Parts: sequence; C-alpha cells; structure tokens
Amino acid sequence: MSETANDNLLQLDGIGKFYGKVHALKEVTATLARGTVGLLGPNGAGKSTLLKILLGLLVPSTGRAQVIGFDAASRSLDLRQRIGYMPEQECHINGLDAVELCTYAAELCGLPYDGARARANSVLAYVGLGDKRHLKVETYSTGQKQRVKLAQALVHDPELLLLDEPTNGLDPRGRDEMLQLIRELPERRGCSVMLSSHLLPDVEAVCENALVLAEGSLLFSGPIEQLRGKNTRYYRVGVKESPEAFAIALRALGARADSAQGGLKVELPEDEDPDFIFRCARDNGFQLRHLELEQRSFEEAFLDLLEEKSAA
Amino acid sequence: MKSAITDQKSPIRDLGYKPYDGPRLSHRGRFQVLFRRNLALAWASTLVKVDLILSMFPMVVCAVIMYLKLAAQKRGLPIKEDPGLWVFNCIFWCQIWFAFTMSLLVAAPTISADVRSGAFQFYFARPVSRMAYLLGKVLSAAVLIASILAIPGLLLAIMRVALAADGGDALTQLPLLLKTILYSVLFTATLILPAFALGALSRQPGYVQGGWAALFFLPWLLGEGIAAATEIPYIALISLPTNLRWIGEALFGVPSSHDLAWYWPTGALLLIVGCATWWVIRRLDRVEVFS
Repeated sequence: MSETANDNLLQLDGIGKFYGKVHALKEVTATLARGTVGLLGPNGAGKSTLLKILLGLLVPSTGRAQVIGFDAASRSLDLRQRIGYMPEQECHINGLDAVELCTYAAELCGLPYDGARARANSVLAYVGLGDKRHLKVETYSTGQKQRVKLAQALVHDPELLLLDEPTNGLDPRGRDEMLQLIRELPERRGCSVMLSSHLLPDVEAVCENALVLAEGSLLFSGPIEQLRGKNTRYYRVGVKESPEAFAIALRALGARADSAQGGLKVELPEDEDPDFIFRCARDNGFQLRHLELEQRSFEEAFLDLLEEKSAA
Repeated sequence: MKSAITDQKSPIRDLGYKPYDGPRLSHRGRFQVLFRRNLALAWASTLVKVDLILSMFPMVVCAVIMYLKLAAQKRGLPIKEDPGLWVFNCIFWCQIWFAFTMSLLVAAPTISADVRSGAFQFYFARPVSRMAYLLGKVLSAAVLIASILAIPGLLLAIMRVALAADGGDALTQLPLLLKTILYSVLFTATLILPAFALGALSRQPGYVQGGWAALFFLPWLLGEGIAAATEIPYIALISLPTNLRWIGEALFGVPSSHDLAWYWPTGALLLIVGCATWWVIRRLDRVEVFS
C-alpha cells in the first residue's frame, strides 16, 4: 500500500499504443494531481484507448502509466480494486435488482457479502435511489440507470472514479443532478474523478483539470483556468480618452484592435508581450486605465487547441 | 462556470457515510463470487428448475425396475442383471436430453448474453481476470449439468451396492461409482465447453442456442448415417453424442455396435473439447471490454 502514498493521480511517461499500423496514442506524457480531471477530445482522439490503459485492460506499446501510485500494466488487478468505472453504455445483469447488482459489484472488488450489501444500500441512498433499490434494473428509466451505474462504480469506495459520458441521455434536470452528484464526490467521498465527455460544459462544471487529446497526441494537460489563458494574445484595454485614436495607433504597429464594451479588445502581434501596449501608450501619449487578459470561454480555448493541432 | 449547475438541492441522502475500512478478499478467490452469483441467477429461472426436476423421473423408473429385477433374482428367478448397462442407459439415453436442455439454458447463451447486455464492462472493469470469469461461469453451468448426469447414475450405482447380496458382491460393484463419476465429468465437459465456444462467436443468444443444437444433433444424424452407409466408422467420430456413447459403452462394459477401440472416440472428444477451450480463451482474451 505504500505505493498509494503517491500524491499524483496520473503519471504518464511516453505512453503510446499501436493497433496494427494505427497509432492510437502518441507518446503521451503528463502528470496530474489528485482531484477532478476532464478527459477531452474529438472522436478518435484516443480517449477510450487511454481509459483502457488506465484501467489496466490494455498494455501500452511504449511508455509506462502509473495511476494512483500503481503501475497500470503490471498491477492491473490491484489498480482496478481501487478504481470505479462508470461506462457510457448500459451495463447491468438481467434479473438483478439495484441492491443485488451493487452488492455483486462490491463482492467482485473483494468486499465480503455482508459488507458489500451494507455498502450497496448506502450508496443507492446516496445517488437518490434508496426507495427504488429493490426494482429490477432493466425496468429503470434512463436517468435511474445512469444513477445505478454511478452507484456500482462507487460501491467499493474507490480512490479514483472514471466516468464515461455520465450525462448521456439525461434530461436537463437529470443532467444537473448527475453533475451535482459528481461534483460533490471528491469532498464527500474523498475520491478523485476523471470525466470523459464530449460535453464541454459538463467538464467545465465539474473539473479543475483537463487532459486534451487529438489524433492520439496530448494537446494540453493542466488546470482548466490555464487552458483558457493558454497562448491567448487578447487583452481588454481601457484608456482615459479617445480609444479610437489609441486603436489606430495600435493598428499602425501591427496589432489588431476593436472597440468592445467601452474599451478596446486588442490582439497582440506575433512575438509581442503586454509591454507592447504600454510602449504604444507611452510613445503616443495615451493614459491607460486598465489592462487585463481576455479570458476565452472553455469552448473557445478547446477549439483553438484543436485548430492549432490541425494547422500544425 | 460552476454556476452552470443549478443551485437546486440534489437528491443526496448521505446517511452517515463512512469510508470502507473492512477486509478485502484476495483476487484468487474471485471466481467463487462469479460461480455463486451465476448459479443463483440460473436457479432463478423457472425453466432451469423444471428441467432439473423432470430429469429425476427417469432415474426413479430405472431404480424401480432395477429393484424389481434384483428382488426377482434373489427369489431365484433366472433374470440376467447388468448394473453397468442400467447406469449407462440411464445417463446416455435418458439424461442426455435433460442435460442438453440445461446446456442450452445455462451454457450456450452465457458469453453472448454478457456481451449483449454490456456485462463485460461490469466484470472486467473490476479486479476480475478473464480466467476467473471463465472458471466461475463454467463451474456454475457444470454444477447444474453434472447434477442431471451424475445424481441419477450415482444413485443407481449406490442402490446397486446397497442391495448387494453380500460383501463380495458389494465390492465388485464399487468401481461402478467411479465409472459413473468419470463418465459424468466427461459428459459435462462435452456439453459445456463447445457451447461456451459457440457463445463467444455471437452477440445473439438465440443464434448461439440454435447453433449449439445444430452442432450437437446434425453430426450425430449425419455421422452415424454416413458411417453406417459407407461402413467407415471413423466418420461417426465427428459427432459429440456418438463419441460419448462409444466411450460409455467401453467404460461400462456394454456390448458395442462398432469395432473401434475406446481411444478413438476418447481422442476425438478430447480434441473437440480441447479446441473449444482454446477457442473460448482466445476469444475472451481478444474481446473488447468497451469501445
């Protein structure tokens, strides 16, 4: 157990995976601290391959993955005992009610029957299915099935919860409730969460960190706030008087400047830093009132990353 | 953006949650959980119960006839008694139908039903190895099928030993118990592993059940028919039931209708069962848990 003392959630060292000639993952190297992580990327980005490697179901062709301190390839059973996985697709066993399903799930993770059953009742109450826990899972609505999937992933008290499209098929209210449940997990249950989703607002609502993949390559790993600000050259600028004249001065030096909400939105020229704006103001006799980095929305930042990748 | 979630209270009723700090069992016994759970699931089926209960009736008939014959023999009537033939006939000609039906219900659809319902993700995202999965599933089906085959045969054999005229007679009948166990094990493996192998080929349990019935009965009809017409008995070795019959005849000392030595059907059967086992393991190793 000493290995679990590692504070890192993930440590990926040059992970690569070939399926025949297809290079599904390309030398992915990243380290993420425990907490909530969003796994993002378009179809074919390598998200499923990475999830399989993290669960120890696939051995990487190159590199090494450590998850909550365990080597994913050589200690996959120990690792899966400490991970909860909520799949995207339906996953239940016909004929079992929710309590039996969750009890079975906990027993498969090594809990003895009595402990497993007690945990199953507790976790079903936690996800809001306490009064319906003795109904057969196949009779549940889509939202209830999603909750059961979350419950069976949580029942053995995992250190890391992998969630694959957890809001699939949910109505807006169900989606909000599911996200609320997920967002509260680290605080209430002390587990880390990795959320794989196509829905950026879901990831933004729940996660502090993001891991962005495209065509098997890692585009970004780190805090979402950093992703929003990454590579941005947009600044919101306020001047004491005549913003239009300042915009003309900026444009003359190669910047792009447009009026926006009582000020200017300025895009710096290539290879320039914010000092460029100060220099321009000083040289042209303008007095700056404020200067702030223009925060892109998460979606803009994500799309910019993909554009940069395709341009490269 | 956290405000994207409404402030509405979620339906959490966290009734004194505490982290689990109890014992966790070793990975090595994981197949036992699968075995126990799968057996309970199978037992929940009415068809399984009906098949198991009905399968006991031929044994009662055989036992009554055997008892009457032994009683008549003790009274000095010139009745020839062959307990091996009774056990063989009971297992092969009577129990085979119930055992095959059980294999259709609990063995053939197992893997395809799990793939279809997404249960592979349920099992393999947990600390369950492919071998533990296979062992748990095979053993639970084996218990049910072996019950149908071994219980009647063993009860008949035990009854024969119990009704022995003297100690010496009882001792001579004891090997019948071992033969019955051996034959039941071989019979059970033959009814399970090829069925599992077929189940690993399709996501449709219905197709697998149909395929298994065809694989079991068609070669039986065709193999024995062509073998009889051409007088080449080797052709009949393609049939699982024919191999089982010939092995049973050799094991229980029943007069045989063919000239092949016992190792021919035994070799053919072991080859088929071995290939089926290899195939199912290979398929399980390659199956995608999730995509």
